[in-house]
Amino acid sequence: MKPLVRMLRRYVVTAVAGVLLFLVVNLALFLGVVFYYGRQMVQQRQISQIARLVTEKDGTVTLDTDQPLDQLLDGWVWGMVLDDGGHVIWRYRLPAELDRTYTVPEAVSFSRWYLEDFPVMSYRTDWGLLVLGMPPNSISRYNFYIDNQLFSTLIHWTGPVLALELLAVLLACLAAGWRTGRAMGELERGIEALAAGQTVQLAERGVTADLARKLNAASSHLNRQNRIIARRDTARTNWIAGVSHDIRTPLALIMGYAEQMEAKADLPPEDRRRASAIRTQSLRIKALIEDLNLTSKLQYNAQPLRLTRCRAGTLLRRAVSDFCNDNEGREVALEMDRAADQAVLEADEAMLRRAFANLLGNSARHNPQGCAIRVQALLQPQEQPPRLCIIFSDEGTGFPPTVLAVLQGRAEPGSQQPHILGLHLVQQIVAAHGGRTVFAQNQPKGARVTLCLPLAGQGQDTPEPEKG
Amino acid sequence: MRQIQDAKILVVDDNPALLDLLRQVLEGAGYRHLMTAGSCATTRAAATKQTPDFLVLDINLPDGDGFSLFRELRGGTEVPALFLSARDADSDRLFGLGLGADDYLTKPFLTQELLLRIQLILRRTYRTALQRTAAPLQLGSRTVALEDALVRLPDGSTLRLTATERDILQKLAENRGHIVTYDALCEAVWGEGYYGYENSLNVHIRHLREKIEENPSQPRQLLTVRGLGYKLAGVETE
Repeated sequence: MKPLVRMLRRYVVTAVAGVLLFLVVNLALFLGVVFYYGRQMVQQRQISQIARLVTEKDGTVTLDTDQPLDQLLDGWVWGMVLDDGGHVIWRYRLPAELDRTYTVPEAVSFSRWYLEDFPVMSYRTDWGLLVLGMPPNSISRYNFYIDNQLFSTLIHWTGPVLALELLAVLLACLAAGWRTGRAMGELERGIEALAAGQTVQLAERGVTADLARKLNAASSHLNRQNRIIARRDTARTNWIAGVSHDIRTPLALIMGYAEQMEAKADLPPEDRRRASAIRTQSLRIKALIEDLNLTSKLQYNAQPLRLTRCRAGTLLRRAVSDFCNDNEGREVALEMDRAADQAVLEADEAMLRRAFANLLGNSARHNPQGCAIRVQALLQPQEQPPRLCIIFSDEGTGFPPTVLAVLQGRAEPGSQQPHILGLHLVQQIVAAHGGRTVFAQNQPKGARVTLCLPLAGQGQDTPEPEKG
Repeated sequence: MRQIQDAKILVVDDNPALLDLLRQVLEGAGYRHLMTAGSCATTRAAATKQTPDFLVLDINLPDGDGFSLFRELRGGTEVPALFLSARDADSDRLFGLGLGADDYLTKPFLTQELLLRIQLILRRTYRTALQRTAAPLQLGSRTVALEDALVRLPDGSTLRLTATERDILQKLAENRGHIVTYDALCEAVWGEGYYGYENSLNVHIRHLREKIEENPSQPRQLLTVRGLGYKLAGVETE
């Protein structure tokens, strides 16, 4: 659930930050506008300030100021002071049509609304009612009334209601985030399952319905392809197994009669040599069939390993002595210290012996004139995981460059590749045991193959990718 | 049974040409009592007529399979058997051996290998009967009667082998001319879990050489193959 929580948290934080940003921007705009127009209003002197200047001098109402009236009353277009009888007792640029006596209803009316389209302000002074007019259409006037109880209720509840609204927004974000996150989580699990090669069938609903539908379609497409590949692989493995089975009995006859002829003392030596060649080549065909069958099974995972714990020394001595018994006159120097001899491997003994036999057989076959063959086993406990490295080396002709290029994965794609079934099988067998194979030229001459195998109970190296 | 060649061997294979080859090979090796069959039915008939001492069985047969046939024939007797089949899957091999067969050899095969395996199984199975008549093991100028654990010197005197020395020599004689690893020798003498007996083996080999070699410090019969094991010199080198 970690990715889901992370996604949810990011979503909610983003949503709340968006709402707060919206509020802050609006508040800033509002304050900016108010500040801009407020400054203009400030330049216009307030009526209360002017009212304080109204006084009487020598029986005449006037403004007590040394400032010129144009400056003092900047922003106002006219002014007057009315006495209690509604008579104009002081005036400043008062239009002629307004210079008259006002009744109480008229005074009440203009104090709330307009006087001949002039928005006016009035202020009561000791000397009468000061009335100042502004240019027509300069401001709008409204009269507001509000019930006291309503007003106090508004003041009391505005804070909590705003807090509740914010909480509601937060919850709405959380709910939306959780739903989206859950849907995304399902998609995520689906993609993971798909990557692991499993079948995916997601519910196609909600905001991710479209994505789920496409993922399901991709999964069924992959399934279809996998089935086709599996069928093809099985068919190929079965075909190879079938051919190798059918060829075995005829080959047994060829080998058997060749052996018989070889042993017949009354046959001319030349014929016996020919029979021997037939037997030897038949044995090669037999080995090739077995290699082909096994490599195909290993490639398509149709060959389960029968793992047992076995001592490296026992395994190597048997492989080398089998080789020596089958190849009279050939000698192999087997070198290992006590630790390597007693190292325990978890291995399919028969299969590993097959790999060893292929390597020893290779040295013998490619150096018919004979050459020194050496097998060394070295325990490498300092490596992680601890491993046993077995080095097969000879002082023969070595690997042809094209073969070595293929074995070391350096061959140009599409280039004419040499056939190296036996060595490829060695790579496969070692990889199936969690080990690694390194092919190189031996110094000063010959071939050198190093097999590194994990010890029993240790982890395995990452298997090398299957080479086509 | 005086010698293994007296054993009655029933060979079953659906391929007449291969059956013919097997007959020639076995006859060439001196086996005198051979029966052949190409199907389950003919096998049953042959086995009823004369109880075989050894079975060589193919698995794919026209009217059944070698596994069922083996179970059927093995019903009352402990007749040893070797499966000889083109089926090379581990599962087949394990199934056959699991049924109680003594060996499993896949085609194609070397006829010499088949003969050696048959010989080994017959010797093992009929050891008691054969030991009474077995030819002594000739090692240079000395002869060894394994059944009596006695080494006979040219002057007519004898040396007695210990049980361990006899087991070691038996194992080497079974693989005469071939290398037998330390491990295989130890296992033959002390069974599985022989680890730690390697030094004891060297001591027993030294004692054995004192009895079978004319000059134990320069052995000509029981040869050391450095790093691998020992080998009993082949007959032709004598």
